[in-house]
Amino acid sequence: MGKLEYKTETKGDETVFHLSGKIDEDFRRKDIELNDLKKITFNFRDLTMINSCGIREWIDFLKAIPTDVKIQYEECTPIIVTQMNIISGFLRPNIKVVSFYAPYFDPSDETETLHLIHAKDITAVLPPVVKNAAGEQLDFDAHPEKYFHFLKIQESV
Amino acid sequence: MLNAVRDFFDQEIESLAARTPCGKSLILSKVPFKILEIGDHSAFISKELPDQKTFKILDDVLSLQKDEGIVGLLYSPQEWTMTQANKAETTNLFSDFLASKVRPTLQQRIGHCADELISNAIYALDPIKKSHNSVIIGEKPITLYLSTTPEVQALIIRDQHGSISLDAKSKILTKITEQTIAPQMDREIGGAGIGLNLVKEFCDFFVIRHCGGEWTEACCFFFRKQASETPFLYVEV
Repeated sequence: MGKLEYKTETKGDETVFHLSGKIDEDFRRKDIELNDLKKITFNFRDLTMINSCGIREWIDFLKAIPTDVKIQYEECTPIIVTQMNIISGFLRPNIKVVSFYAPYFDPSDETETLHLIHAKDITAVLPPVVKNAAGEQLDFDAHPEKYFHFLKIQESV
Repeated sequence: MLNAVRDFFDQEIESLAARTPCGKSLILSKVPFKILEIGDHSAFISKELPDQKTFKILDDVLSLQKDEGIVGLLYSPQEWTMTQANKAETTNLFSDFLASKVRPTLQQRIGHCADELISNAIYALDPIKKSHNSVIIGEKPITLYLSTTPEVQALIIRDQHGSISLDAKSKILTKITEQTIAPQMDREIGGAGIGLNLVKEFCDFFVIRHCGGEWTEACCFFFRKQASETPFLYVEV
């Protein structure tokens, strides 16, 4: 697992930062150059790890971003979802979670898959129904209330 | 012992003392955990009634003698010995093995737990001093064990220090029960327990066994279906 790297992609007035590697004790806020961007999206799909010291640095990084900058989180992996659920400061008033992965289990062949879910599709902490190729419903492989807790946090910060 | 645990969850009380098969007192507690001065007692913390699999492990762990490690309960575990000299190489070997044996999302969860617990082992599980880029203390290597069966995966990180103080133990038990953690922003004083809380979130049953002055072993069990709340057992042997 390498250090944090990123690529940027411009979509209109929005800049997407595709993060990869890991965020650890070596990460510093200057490692991601935001310049004067006003609309930022962090894509976490290829981020392999953010350890406890990395969390501290990430929150320090977020605190330094002006509050009028709009931030979106997209393609959050289960690891990021867990951290959003329990770490104070991972979500802030100017941050919105757009999409995240959720684990599903197929009892027919005992395989596990991750499905991308858009936050707007979650109602009453019920996981979306996902089916396999044979049309059989997959098991949501986490505790729904616990897994979707960050959506409540997002509303309250 | 297990009957005492079952009875406890049937009652509208927050904590209860019971006696283990080894003769020690066990404090059973539902979150929030408020008893900080626990001395030589063991503590089992769980908000909800654990499932049968957790019960079995709980019973097995509490029945272990002082000279027996949790690794003896695991099926065909793989073992790595980590020193400062081979730290990077061992980390890579462990990651490669993990990738070859475990499904992708579980790989990330186990990998995170290993990362946090190795750094804790370096500092003898003191959540205050934690840093991830420190050196392994002295000539006492850390041992990693990983067992992967279709039903249960288990990770053990064992140090040869056993230096958790009563104060540190109180902090561990307090931190482990917090629902939300605010990171400590001072780099000089570590992560203030975030790591242990993450470990508790990523695994399905978390056990710390501590033998003062000799060793500490932190063990994470991963089941097929995640529970809503991770039971936590602290054992002073």
